[in-house]
Amino acid sequence: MAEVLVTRVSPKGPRQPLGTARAAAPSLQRLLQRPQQVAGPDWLRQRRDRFWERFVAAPAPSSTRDEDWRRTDASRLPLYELLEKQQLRLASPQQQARSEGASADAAQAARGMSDLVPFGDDSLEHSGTIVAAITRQGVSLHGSQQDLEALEQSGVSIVALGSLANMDDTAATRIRQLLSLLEGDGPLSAAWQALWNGGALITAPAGTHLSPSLWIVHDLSGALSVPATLLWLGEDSSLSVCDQYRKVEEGAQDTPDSSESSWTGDGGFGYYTPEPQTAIPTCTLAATLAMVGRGAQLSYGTLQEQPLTTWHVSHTLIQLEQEARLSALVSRLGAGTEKSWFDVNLVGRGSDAEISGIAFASSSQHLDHQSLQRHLGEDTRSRFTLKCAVSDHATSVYSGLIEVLPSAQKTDGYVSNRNLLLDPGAKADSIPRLEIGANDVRCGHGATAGHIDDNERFYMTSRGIPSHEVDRLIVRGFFEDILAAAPFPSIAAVSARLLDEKIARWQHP
Amino acid sequence: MPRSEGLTVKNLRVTTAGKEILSGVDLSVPAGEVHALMGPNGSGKSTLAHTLMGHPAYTITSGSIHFAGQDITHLRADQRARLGIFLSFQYPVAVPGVTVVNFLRAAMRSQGKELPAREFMKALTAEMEKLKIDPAFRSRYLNDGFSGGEKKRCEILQMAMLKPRLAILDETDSGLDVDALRIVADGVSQLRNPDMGVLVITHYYRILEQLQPDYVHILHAGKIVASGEAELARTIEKSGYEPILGPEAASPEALPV
Repeated sequence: MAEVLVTRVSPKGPRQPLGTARAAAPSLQRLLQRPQQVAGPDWLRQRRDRFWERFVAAPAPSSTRDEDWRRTDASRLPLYELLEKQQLRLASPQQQARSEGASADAAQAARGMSDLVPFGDDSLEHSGTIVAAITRQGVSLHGSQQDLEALEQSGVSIVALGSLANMDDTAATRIRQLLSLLEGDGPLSAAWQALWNGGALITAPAGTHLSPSLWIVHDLSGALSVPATLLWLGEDSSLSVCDQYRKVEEGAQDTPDSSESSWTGDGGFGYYTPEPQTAIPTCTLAATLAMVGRGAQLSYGTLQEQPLTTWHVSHTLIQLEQEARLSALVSRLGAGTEKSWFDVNLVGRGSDAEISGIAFASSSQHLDHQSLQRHLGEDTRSRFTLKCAVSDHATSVYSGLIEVLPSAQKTDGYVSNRNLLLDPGAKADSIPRLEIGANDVRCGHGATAGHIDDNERFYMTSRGIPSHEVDRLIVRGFFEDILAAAPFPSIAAVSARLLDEKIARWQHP
Repeated sequence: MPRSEGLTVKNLRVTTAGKEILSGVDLSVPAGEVHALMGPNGSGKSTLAHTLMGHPAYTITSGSIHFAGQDITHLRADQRARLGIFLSFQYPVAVPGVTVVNFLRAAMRSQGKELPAREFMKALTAEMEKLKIDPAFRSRYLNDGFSGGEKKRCEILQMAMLKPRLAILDETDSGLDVDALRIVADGVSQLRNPDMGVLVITHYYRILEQLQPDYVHILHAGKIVASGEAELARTIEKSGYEPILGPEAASPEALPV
């Protein structure tokens, strides 16, 4: 039995025929080692136990069996290998403090984290932005005096998810509601439910408005990082939030330290490290779950800039009540392999979702994006636009579905994917789909793939600009309309800066 | 200025897509002079313009191009531009997402003509005023959604900012109404200086009236078949190409309309 398992998860091993993996599943229980647990209330512990069992019993994702994984080699996902071979433990405060390059002191740690958000020439003080750093002491906030006062007066609360022992009932109820959004039967949502730790619950009570944006910088320095962002927006509230996923520093993972052995883990920081330390692939399993109440407005950004050695698996799921609005920017620039889901549930009548994304896959990156615009309410509107530039031997995969339920008459939905292929070896797969269950709707999809036009390149080189620089300008220009329409200014500035950095690093042949 | 400072084309033969378009062109445009290049449709005028700029789709099979005392026959377009050659395109290309300002700054930087931000904006604003271009165009995407006339004016704007030593205007006057033509012609006239040569490719006498060329050349079937002073252009305006090229060249579509 053990051999079956090893065969299944080894990168180049032969695939098992359909059904074999399912039959072999019980063996997983003996082989997958459950990482050290975050302390928490009983309901949460029981919940985690339930999902761990579900995860262990479920067959691992398979590229032959699962439609979602058809274009991304699931057998290379390092999650199972990590759980089989490593005794994972929660990152200790000492480890986290070191990886932040600051002491464990919360304020200093926050400053360390805020340095991670590249605001260009504008310092954080003038950016209208508050950086939320998750530390052992709770959430530490860094921003200008004015912005921090605005947060205090707004009634918006930020609760660290690391230590949940003393959580009040309202927060617990909201966490439970939000977690229930992602209870699909897939093994990875079960794994996330069992293992998530760290991150924050951000609550905007009814009628509250916060003008500065909140940046959650997820430190993903561990071998396995399972961060959570939970957003709850009450009626007629408005909030701008950005998730930034990055590893603090290549090689910042620390060597074992005797002082850590006493760490028992009453809180988590979003990641696990192996004990003892060994060279292993790294994996992030991230989720952002949001409920946007009646008439509320969420402006949201998610920036993925992980190192190429990492697998980034993420699920964003946002539920919109009546007249609620979502405006979102997705930026995917890093990770060796990414598999991401972005789902929006338009539940309430008249809700509206506008989601735009940029992705740039270079060298041997494989970025697989999946989106779902699920219309349940009447008179709902959704737009999803993803632009991908692909160079070298990289691959971009996009599959987007608009699903209109019979209850969702007068749906107006569009999904589009545009790809710019920069090299002969670059590949882009695009599968937009519609599933319409109502008869009075307006839905469409579009997908294109193109190259840099020779005349465009000649025109620009004829002004003296070398061709590699021309290609950079064209790639930058390709994304410009998406950045120009970003949901809030700081995310436009930061994503532009990250994109410019990536383009500057891009070695065009 | 000695002639070696300008453009010298010798016995230039050029093919594209396996077909010979230029069959031995000889042409000199010294610095400080304005030359006009006329000729029926299909005679190879645009091919010559693109070849002088270094378009990779045109293959030079023999002959040479010298500019500013240097053999540029095998240089890339960006290298030629950095030597000071500028082509005003007959069909300027739209570049979505790249603003006029950013494009111009990148071009000036690559040519070693970068200005401090404030000076640059001042110069740009002044040139746009002269060419009657709405200041809002600074942050528009280059040629994207521009009308024909706006594109042509934007070409002259780029020329004004880049201050080339050889300007090739490929039918910059086509498709312009009388007012736009005057603005463009004035723009070019103002840039004239003893260090810059100008090669105006046109079908029309009107722009030549304003630019007062020193010489006029007639291109036919890939060769310069006649050269003369400004008077030659007037003759063509009055009687067409037939007196110069013979009746076979004067088919109806060969004549400008």
